[in-house]
Order: sequence, then structure tokens, then C-alpha cells
Amino acid sequence: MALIVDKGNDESVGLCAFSITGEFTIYTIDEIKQKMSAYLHLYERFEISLADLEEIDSAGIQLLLALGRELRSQNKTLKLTAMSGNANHLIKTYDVYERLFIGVAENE
Amino acid sequence: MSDDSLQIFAEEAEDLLSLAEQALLNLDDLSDEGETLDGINDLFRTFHTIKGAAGLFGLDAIVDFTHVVESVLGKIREGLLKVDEPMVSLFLLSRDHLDNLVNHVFSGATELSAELKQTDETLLKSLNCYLQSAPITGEAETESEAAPDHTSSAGTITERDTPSVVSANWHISLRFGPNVFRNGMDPASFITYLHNIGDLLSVTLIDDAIPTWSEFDPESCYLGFEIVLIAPNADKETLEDVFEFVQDDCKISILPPNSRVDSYVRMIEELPEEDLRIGEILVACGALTEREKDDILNAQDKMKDDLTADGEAPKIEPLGQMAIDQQMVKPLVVDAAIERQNVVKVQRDASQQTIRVNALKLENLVNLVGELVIGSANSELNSRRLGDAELNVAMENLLRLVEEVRDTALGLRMVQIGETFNRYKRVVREASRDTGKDIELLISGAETELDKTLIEKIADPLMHLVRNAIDHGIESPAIRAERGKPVKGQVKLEAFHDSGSIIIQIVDDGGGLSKENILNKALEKGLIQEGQLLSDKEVYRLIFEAGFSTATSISNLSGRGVGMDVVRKNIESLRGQVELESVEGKGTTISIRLPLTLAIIDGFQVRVGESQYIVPLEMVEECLELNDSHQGSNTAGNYINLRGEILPFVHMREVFNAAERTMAEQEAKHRDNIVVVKFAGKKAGFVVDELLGEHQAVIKPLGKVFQNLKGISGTTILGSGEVALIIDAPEMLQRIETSSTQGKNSARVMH
Repeated sequence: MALIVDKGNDESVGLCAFSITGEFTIYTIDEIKQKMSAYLHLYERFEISLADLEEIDSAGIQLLLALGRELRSQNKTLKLTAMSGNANHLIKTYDVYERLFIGVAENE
Repeated sequence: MSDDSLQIFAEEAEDLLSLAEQALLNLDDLSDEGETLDGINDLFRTFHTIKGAAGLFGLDAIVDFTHVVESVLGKIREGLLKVDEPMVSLFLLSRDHLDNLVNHVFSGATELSAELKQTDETLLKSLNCYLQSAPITGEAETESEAAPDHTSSAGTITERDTPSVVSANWHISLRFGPNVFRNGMDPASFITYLHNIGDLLSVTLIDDAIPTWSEFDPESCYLGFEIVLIAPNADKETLEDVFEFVQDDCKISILPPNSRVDSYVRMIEELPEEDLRIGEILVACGALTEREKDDILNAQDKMKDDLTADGEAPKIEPLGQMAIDQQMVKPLVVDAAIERQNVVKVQRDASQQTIRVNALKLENLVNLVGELVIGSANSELNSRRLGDAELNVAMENLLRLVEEVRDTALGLRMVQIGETFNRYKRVVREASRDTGKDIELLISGAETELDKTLIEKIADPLMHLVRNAIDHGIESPAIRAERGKPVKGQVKLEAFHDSGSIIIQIVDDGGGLSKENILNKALEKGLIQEGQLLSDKEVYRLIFEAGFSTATSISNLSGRGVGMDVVRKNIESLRGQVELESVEGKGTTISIRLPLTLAIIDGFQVRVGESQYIVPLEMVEECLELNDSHQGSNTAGNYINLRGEILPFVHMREVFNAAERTMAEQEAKHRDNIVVVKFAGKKAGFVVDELLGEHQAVIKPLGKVFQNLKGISGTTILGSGEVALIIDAPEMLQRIETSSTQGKNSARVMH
């Protein structure tokens, strides 16, 4: 598991990009939340890449939902930019595509 | 499928089926609604468990049949059907059929025999009649809606007076508990599993419960789901089973297709989210139409208004509301969930209470304990010979433990007789129906314990005696009324302990036995001679002679003349005795006396001549010295005066033809001892040379050659390796009694 804060994060444009890799499950979820929390007040827009996930469970999805709700309440945005197969599958199962705004990373 | 697990299934099914039988027989008073409902709930659970277990083994025939029975029971539970007498009989037949099915499967057959198939079809037909006659469809309910049956005073919408929704799909509402993730479960797996049952029309994730980021605990689960499932062939249990593992800490509502509107009302109410929002979600996911949603929400508002008008606090706490709600209409969903938990709990409790052990293992254990007892007696003897104080103390300790081990090991085989007694409820019920007599069965001493092998062997003779009591004993209601007896006849089964024996009595308050009839019949059959004088006991004993039957007509139940002598033989083969007492016009009592155990007894060791003998300790009352003052009571030496009581006695020396006393013994002015023995109310003294004290005797049966030996019931091995004979005290007492009444000397054992 790792939460990688991608280089090129730019405070001036307020964009923060995370990559979550490895396990994104109940076993790692607490750690990921804590790491994320440090950045939330620093940026306006957030992008998360799930391309390198090995595993994700419902706790992972719940964290993304919680993050989305929180950011929305602060008028900030969240975008999922890349998806591993299993993340895709779970999001489909729960039918939450729209709630986790999914799009292309701004830098690309 | 392994034989072992099938065996377990068969045993479990057998237990459950006997539970079912009991529950059914307890349903005799259908007017008591509360009790009836309890009984039906028990039955439902029992059949449900059987179905589940059978399903596990893929025993489709059993599953299919049980399912229908269960459905009918379900209808009764929901109040859509009323139990009546024929229905109970039908359930009893169904239970029997299931019993046959289980046996059939256990015997290894894969195909049903033609006979079973036919029973299957007939029963299913009858059961289905009930299913069809019950108003189950939504249309039927809608019709009744017009009828003004708003009985509920608080204005709550009751189960029956609301229309059903148009959606023909299942609606599942889930709110997972906070610990679901921590318990290693993932809601996704449940939803994925639903694919196996039907097609998911929509899954709506409810994330309203997720708190703000700072309060959000990512390890807790805040998720909920509203699911619409297309599964026209599924049943509710299948769906409930999916969520079995999380039912304890989750809110689950499962609404079948075309559920009534009020089910939705209730569900919405119980959900934590705002009613309006849930309404919209339900519309969005296709569970409700827009109109239905509005109706439901309106109904809900109205309900709240009504409650307010009734003087309730205007702001209703969700919990209180739920309570009120439950009081008025018990939600079926919750009911079913509780039911399931109970089933699981009952099973868990039972498994903690009992362990199934192979009977062979137990037998082996008892045999080993027998050897242990003999071995320890040998050690004791040697330790005494050595005279080492410390060794003796250690030996004492060991012996005490061996005794405890022995008692515990023998206790393992003891079972309560109640279950066997309960079987006869059915017999009485059916027999009284067949004979048109009104009979009740009373049971007392059901908790009396008896060796399992004894119970198994006594069941058939008992059955025969119970049938006899019903058939010959109890009179028809008309005659009873004429004789001024209560119309309802009584048959009583009683069990109790009495000096080392267990006594089982079958008591009826019927016509009793006519001595004259018995004597005439016995003359006719050549069992007695003309002019022979017989005591009452002897007359009644004739009944147990081979080929004796007093019934003038042969009925379905008894009277084929093969009964009573077989009963007697069976009981005697268990070292038991059977006796009959009767008062003409008042009733008959049959007493069966059986030894408590078959394997090991506490014995009292005595010496007669050179040999050692064992008298069962339970029968020994006291020991006295036979002195001159006693001797003076009777010159012939056949009885003594024991504290004002006449005590007949026998010299064992004579009975067992022991050698004359040696000169040395005579010189030592040897005095004889009397062992006073009591059995079945009779007392007698056995005169022996020496009292040796208590001894644990492992009974070894006599070989074939000696089986007919009178006065000896078995042998045992002493610590020294010598063989001691066990005195058959009952037989000996009988002999003293006959010899004293006939004025003869005591008979001698034929060596």
C-alpha cells in the first residue's frame, strides 16, 4: 500500500494528484485516510489514480465516497483519473460512477 | 456423500422428527391460540431445519416435500390458515412420510419406491389444497381492502388493508452495521452472490450515513443499499440465507414481489434516512411508482398525525415509534430474522448439551471399566497381603476413583425414559380414534433414568401393554357413563426407582379383569385343572401364559393371543419381572420391574462352604448373627422372629450342597450369619457361613450350559482370580415363598 503524492503538484493552481497503489482495503484504509488528511486543506482540486491498485474492497470505495462528499461540501472537486480492473468492477457493482467523478487527469 | 455424514443427518432428522411429533401431539387443544401458535412455530422451525439439512446433502425428495409442509405451516403462522384436527393428522402423516423418506435415503436407495412415491403424491395433493385455498395473492387482498376492517384503534395501517405495489420484483433494503468490515466481510460479496439467485435490476448505494471527514472512521462501515432483484422463482428464505452471516448487526428488509404498501411504509420508517429521500430512491431504483411513493408518504404522515391526535408526543422518537409499530403490526421480516436466530441458537445450545457417541465405543468403555474393576480388586487383595500402610492408603484412593469411574461410565448409558413414554402419546391418540374411545395418557416419572439398551428393548412390550390397556382395559364412553365413571378414560404411564430396580407401571381406569373369565379360559385352554385353587396373583399370572387371550373379538390393536406371553418373555430376558393387579370395574395395573444396569453391580460378598457368592447389594437390607434366641423361633429352622416380624430363611449351605463343616470349624463354635434380602416387597434371610463385605461385581453371563440354572443369575471374577456366583435373589425369594406356602423344604439347585 502506498499513497503517493505525485510530483508536479502545484499549489498555485491548487491541484493535488494522488496515486494509490497496492492494497486499498480495510487493512490499509486508516493509514491512507491519515495521509490524505494532511493535504485536504492545501488544495482545491484532487485527482486520484487507481491504476496501480492490486486490491480494493468496499472500505476503499467508502473512503472515496467520503472524500467526495467532504470535498463537495467545501466546494472542492475530486476526480478519479485511472482505474485498475478490480476497482472498475467494484465501482460498477455499486453503481457509483457518477458519484466519483471520473475523468482524465488535467496534466495529460 | 460420505456414510458418516449421512448417518449424522439421519440421526439428526430422527431427533427432529420426534420433536415434530411431540409438538404435533401437544396441539391437542386447538382452542388455546397462544399455545397453538407456539406449537406451530416449533413445528415450522423443526421442518425448516430438516429441509436445510436435507438440502445440504442434496436430498431433493426430502427438500421438496418438506418445503410444502413448511409452506402450509408458514400460512398458519401468518394467520392465513387456521389449524384444525384434520390438518394436524395430515401433518402427522407427513411427519411419518418424512421419517420413511429419511430411512429410505439412509438405506442407500437413490430412487423412491413406488409406494413412497404414491404416499408422496397423495400427501402433497392434500397439502397443496391448503396452500391453494389460502388467500395469498395480491388481488385477493385488494378485494378485501374494500371491506371496512379498520380495527386498529390507533389508526395504524394493518397488515391486511392496504393494496400491493405493482413492482413484481423483490426489494432488498440493507443497512450494514459498523463492524462489517472489521468482521472480515464485504458488502460487495453479498451483492455479487445475489447474481446467483436472480438478476439485479438496480443497486443503489446509500452513503448518507457517512459523517464528515474528520469524524469519518474509515474502518467502520456506513454503507446501505437498496436493491431491486428480479427473481420470480426465489423464496424469501433463500434470500434471507444470503445475509445469514450479517443478520446480527445489519438492518435487512426483504420485500417479496407485489408486497403490500404497508410493508414499504414500515420499511421506510425503519430506515434512518429521511422518508422523502428514501421515497425518491425507491422510485429511482424502480421499486415503487411515483404514485405509490406519494401514497405511502401520505399514509405515513396520516399515521403520525393520528398518533399525535391520540395524545402521543407530537415529535416521535424513532425508537418509540418502532416499538409502537411492532406492537401493532409485528413486521414479518423481523419476525423471520428472529426466528432464524432462534433456530441457530437452539442448535447451538443442543450441541453444547450432547455429544453423539458411537454405541460401540461406549460399550467398549463399559467393558474396559469392567476389567478395570476386576483389576483393581486384584491389586487391592495384593496390597492388603503386603500390609504396607502407605500402599493401602494409595489403594483406597484408587478404589474410590475406580468406583466413581464405574458409576460415571455406566451413567453414560442412562437415558430418561420420558422420550419413550412420549411415543405412546401417538399410539393413544390413534388408538382412541380407531376405537372411538376418549382416552388421555398421563405420564409421570419421565425423568427416571434407565439403561439405553433396556429402554430400547422395553419399548415394544410397553407398546403392547399400552395398546392392551386401550383396547381391553378402557370401556367405551357409553359403558363408562353407565358405570358412573368420567367419560374420558385414563391410561397412566409411571416410572420410578425402587431398591435397585426401576419400576414401570401401566395403569388404566378401565373395566379391570374378570377372574372368572380368566379361570374359565384357562380351563378351556388346559392351563389349569378343574378344582385347582389359585391365589389372585396366580390367576392374574395366567394372562402371561402362552396362548392365552381373553378378548372375545379380535380387534386391530390386540387380541391375537400372541401378546402377553411374549411380553413376559421379553421382560424376563432383561432380568425383569412383570406383575398384574386388577380390580374388576375399577382398572388394571401392570408393573414391570427391571434391573437398573446390566453390566456392573455393587455386590455383597459372602462365603458358603468353600465357595464365594455375591448378593446384589441394593437388595441387602441388613445382616444379623443367627444365634440361639433366633433359632428358638422355629425348631425346623425355616423362619425366625425378626423384631416381631416373621422372616423366612434358607440355609445356603443346603441350597448349594456345600460340604459339611470341618471339625475345626465346629470346634470354633462357628455361628451362622443371616443376610436379610428384600425384593419387590418380600423379605427373606439367606443363612451363610461368613460375611465378606462389599464387592464390585462385573457380571459375566452364564454360559449356555448353565443358562437354565435356577438361583444363579451370573458369575463374576474376584480380585484373587476366583469365580464367585451371583445369587439370583428374586428367584430365591420366590422359591422361599412357594416352599413356605406349600410347606415343602426349599428346593435344591441342580448341580
